[in-house]
Amino acid sequence: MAISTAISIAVAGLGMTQRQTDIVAQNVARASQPGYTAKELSIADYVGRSGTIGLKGTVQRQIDVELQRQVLQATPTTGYSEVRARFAQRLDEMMGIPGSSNSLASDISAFTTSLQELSTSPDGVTARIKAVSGAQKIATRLNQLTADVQAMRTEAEQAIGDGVARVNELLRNIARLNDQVASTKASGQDPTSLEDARDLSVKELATWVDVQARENSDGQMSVFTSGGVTLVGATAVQFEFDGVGTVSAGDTWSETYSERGVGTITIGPSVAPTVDLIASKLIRSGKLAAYVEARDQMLVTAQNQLDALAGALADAFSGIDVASTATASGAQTGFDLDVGGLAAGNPIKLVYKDNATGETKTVTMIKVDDASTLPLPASATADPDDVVVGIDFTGGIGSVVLQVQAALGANFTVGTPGGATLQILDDGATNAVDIVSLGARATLTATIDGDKSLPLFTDGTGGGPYTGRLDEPAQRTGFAGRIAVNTAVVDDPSLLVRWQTSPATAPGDATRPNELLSRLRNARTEYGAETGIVTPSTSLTATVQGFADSVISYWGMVSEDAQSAKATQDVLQNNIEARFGEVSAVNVDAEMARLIQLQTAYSANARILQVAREMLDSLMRS
Amino acid sequence: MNINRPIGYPSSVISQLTGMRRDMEDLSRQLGTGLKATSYGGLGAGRSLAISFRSKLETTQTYQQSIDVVALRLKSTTQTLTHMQSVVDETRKSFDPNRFDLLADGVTGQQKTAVSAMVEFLGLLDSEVAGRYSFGGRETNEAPVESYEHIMNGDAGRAGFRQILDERRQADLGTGTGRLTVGAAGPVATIAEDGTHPFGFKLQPAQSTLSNATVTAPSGSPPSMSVTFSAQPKAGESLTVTLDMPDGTRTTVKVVAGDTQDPAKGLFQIGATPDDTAANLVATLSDRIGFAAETELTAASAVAASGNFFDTRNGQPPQRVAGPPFASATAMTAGTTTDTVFWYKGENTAMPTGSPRGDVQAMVDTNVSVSYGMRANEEAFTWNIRQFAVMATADLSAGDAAAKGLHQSLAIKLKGNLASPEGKQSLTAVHMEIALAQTATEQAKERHTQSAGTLKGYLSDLEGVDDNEVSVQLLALQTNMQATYQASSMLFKMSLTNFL
Repeated sequence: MAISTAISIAVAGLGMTQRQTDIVAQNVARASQPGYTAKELSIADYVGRSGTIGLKGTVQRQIDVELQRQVLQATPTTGYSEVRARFAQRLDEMMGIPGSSNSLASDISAFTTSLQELSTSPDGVTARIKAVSGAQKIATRLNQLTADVQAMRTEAEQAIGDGVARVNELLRNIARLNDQVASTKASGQDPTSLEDARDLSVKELATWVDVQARENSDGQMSVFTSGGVTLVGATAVQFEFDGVGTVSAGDTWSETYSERGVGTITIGPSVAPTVDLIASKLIRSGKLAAYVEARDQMLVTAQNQLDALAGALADAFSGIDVASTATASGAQTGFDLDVGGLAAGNPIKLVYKDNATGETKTVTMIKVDDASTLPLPASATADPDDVVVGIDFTGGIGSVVLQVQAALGANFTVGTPGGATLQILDDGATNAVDIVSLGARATLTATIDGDKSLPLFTDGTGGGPYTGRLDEPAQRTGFAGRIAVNTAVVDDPSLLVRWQTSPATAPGDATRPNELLSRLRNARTEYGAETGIVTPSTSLTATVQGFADSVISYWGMVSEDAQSAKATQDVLQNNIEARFGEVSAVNVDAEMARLIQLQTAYSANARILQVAREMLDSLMRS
Repeated sequence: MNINRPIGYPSSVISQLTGMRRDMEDLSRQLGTGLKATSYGGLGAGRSLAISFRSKLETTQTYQQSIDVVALRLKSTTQTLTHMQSVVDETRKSFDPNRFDLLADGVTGQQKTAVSAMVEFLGLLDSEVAGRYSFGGRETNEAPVESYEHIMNGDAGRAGFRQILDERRQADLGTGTGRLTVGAAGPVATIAEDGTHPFGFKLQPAQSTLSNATVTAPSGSPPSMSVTFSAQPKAGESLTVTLDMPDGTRTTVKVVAGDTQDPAKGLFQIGATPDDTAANLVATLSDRIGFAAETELTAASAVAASGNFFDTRNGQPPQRVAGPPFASATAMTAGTTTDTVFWYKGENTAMPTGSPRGDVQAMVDTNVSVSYGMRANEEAFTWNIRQFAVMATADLSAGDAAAKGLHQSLAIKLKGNLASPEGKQSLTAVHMEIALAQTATEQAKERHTQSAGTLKGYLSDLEGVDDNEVSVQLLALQTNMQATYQASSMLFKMSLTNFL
């Protein structure tokens, strides 16, 4: 019965055309809905014993899986570079603005100016007050910058928390959509809208964490990090974040729970064993990685720079070089050094020549008051080439001698001629080593009658001197947040001029202002790798002003790099998305053209029905 | 989230348009602020140069500020020194040994001039620039010299210059013979100092044309000399005794043998015997020495006293005669702050190498410092004050021959002294040193102005924008954007929807 077949096929054709029109209508209506991919109806034959007896249609998404994967790959980097650029730019703007004197470096040069003025008019009350306020401005700026840096770290910490919450929501969402897709498919309904929603969630997830997604043959989407941890399989795992409310300079990330001052991201406890995503470096890109990097590296580097600068500034004024006296015992020559005036953190520097190799070597011995601080890491000094030894002074000079002897080895003879004097002699006639110099750097505490200089900056308002103490908590950590102008000087600015009581300093005596000025201008400090400005195996020796300039330049450079990385990534992302869009987005022109087609097809099918009916009529009538 | 884009609107157009819009905003910001970027990140490769130039510029400005202050001080000091010089010059001109113009109140017009010169000079030493006293070394907060009244007349138990002068005069004059004893024994006339001390006349070898007389050179301790007549000298022959005075000058007393005994004219009578002649010689010599003591020695004593009182360099206290009694005093003693006026109150430590200029130094450039410290008790100032003070305090009220002689001695001596004798630091020398500092300052200022200009130029090249360039860019961008809008709008309108 060929006619009836024609009728059934024409009817099926009408049905298909209606469904296609329906899809065109849907495509046009939802063209601008985020994540919506253009749909089309794929039509297949219903084959009966007598051949095709009808048509069946399946809704399909117009999607290029390869491009979709590329989008997914690019997205985390875009999220990462966006967050990183934002933090870098803020640091850049915090450190200084071109054409303006509103920066730490400018504060330092303004203070230099006020000291110069003081040196010209030591008797001027205004000049003295101006110098004090110049110093206070630096201290306040360092405090403020520390607060800002730590506020940004707190922000990053909170952003990680929020990000983790959002990631968890997305993971749950994906798992739920997986279930819904399965049940929709099972009931034979169209799952494509659900799939669109699921893709949208995966894409948003990718802005946070670098993930890859794969659709299984049964239509289930599995999501795993590029490090290989499965996030959504049969079920979704959940991230956990033990964030803290406020982050301060001393709070850093560590693998060890007891030493950790900030939160870490883990998967668990539903997954055993618990995986620390930061420790195992499983989050490599995306906004989460950017926030973690900002919190633990970028901003920590910024804080280290501020602390190094604050320390150098305090030491520039309060550091006193302790000279040693040459001594000899038989053929052995060496030096006597009075170590009685040293405070915890003050270094003793021994320079000797190793005659076997001809090299000059440096041993830096740092005073500590707490044996648990030992041994000291090599990073305790900025010099990458020296040997760092911590010496516990609590046991008196006898114990110090033993410790120094143990640290230096048999080529040296360490002793004490009495008092708090440390004597280090070379090996005499054996001549394996020659001591070049021995010296220490103590910290000045007296504001008058101590030295021409002055301990201008203290650790905290009314606090003690800055000695660089390494005993826990290390004094350097967060010092920029605590640095303050010595209250004695604030209360009595004449201390900027009066440096001795007998004979009394004349009001016009510029001895102290000149000393302060020369120290600020010329004192050179060695800055280590933790400041980020130098590579790990080198150090930078610079004046306070020079270092402050370097800091501005450094952040300018980091910010510029981050901005340009972001710009490049944005272009890349845009291009991929555009190409993806060319395939998946609704092309209204195409839809309209199809509508015309469908209209014709509908008429044609209807016409076939009409013809079939006429044929049947003819048959009946014959 | 994807962009909710209009149907058929390519996403690349949107991002292009937003990008252009952003560029437009940035360009208009550049035009408004004149700055290339809002942070150092935006400056690009020129960043570290910009930072280092800014640092250098700030250093330069530091020096410029310092120079402004120093230049003001130097200018005011130069004016003060010029003024001092004119006071000295005028006073010197007014001192006239041949005019004794005693006024009704017992002082001469020249003395009045000296008083006013001294008051003015002290006032100049107390001059200040913005509360800073220039002539006290590093003691810049207090006027460096005492008032004229205190210096001259003392204050609350502390002796002033008049008292020091009087004590010294007593010590130098002794009994009126300048601490010499003159006597005759037989044919021997002896002139001897009355002890070993720094006061009065000091004997020097005498010149003699006396025949039949043996004149010995001063010898012994205390020194003495003698004239022994073996027979009578002839009329017209003379003996000239040379005497050193406390201020380092020297005078002579000449006696001439004659037929009459006239001490006022320096004549001694050749007596009947050598013994008588010796006695006559002694009488005339005593009289002449007494006159010299009242005039020249008094003048010299005053100058010496002024040195004792005013010369307090390197922390030396004023010196005064140990006594009373003063007339027989044999030593000087240091005055203390309770018994003597210390006329100079400024910094008086050992002077820095060279001169007190080193007390006050200002950096006007890297490694260039100018020194411009001054102390009121530097020789250049003290020397002139001493001359004024000596003239002002001389007692000429008697108006007699001795007073006139004293006036003459003083006028000659002081006039000479005020002319900046050799070996003394002069006002001109100080003036020159300050002028050199001024020149160095001016030169540094010029250098800084130039380098600041250059640095500002560099900085504006690095940080700033070229208005013309930005305007052209803005214009080009505007054209581009308008074209893009036009094209997008055409694209948007060209939809099949419109033709169905």
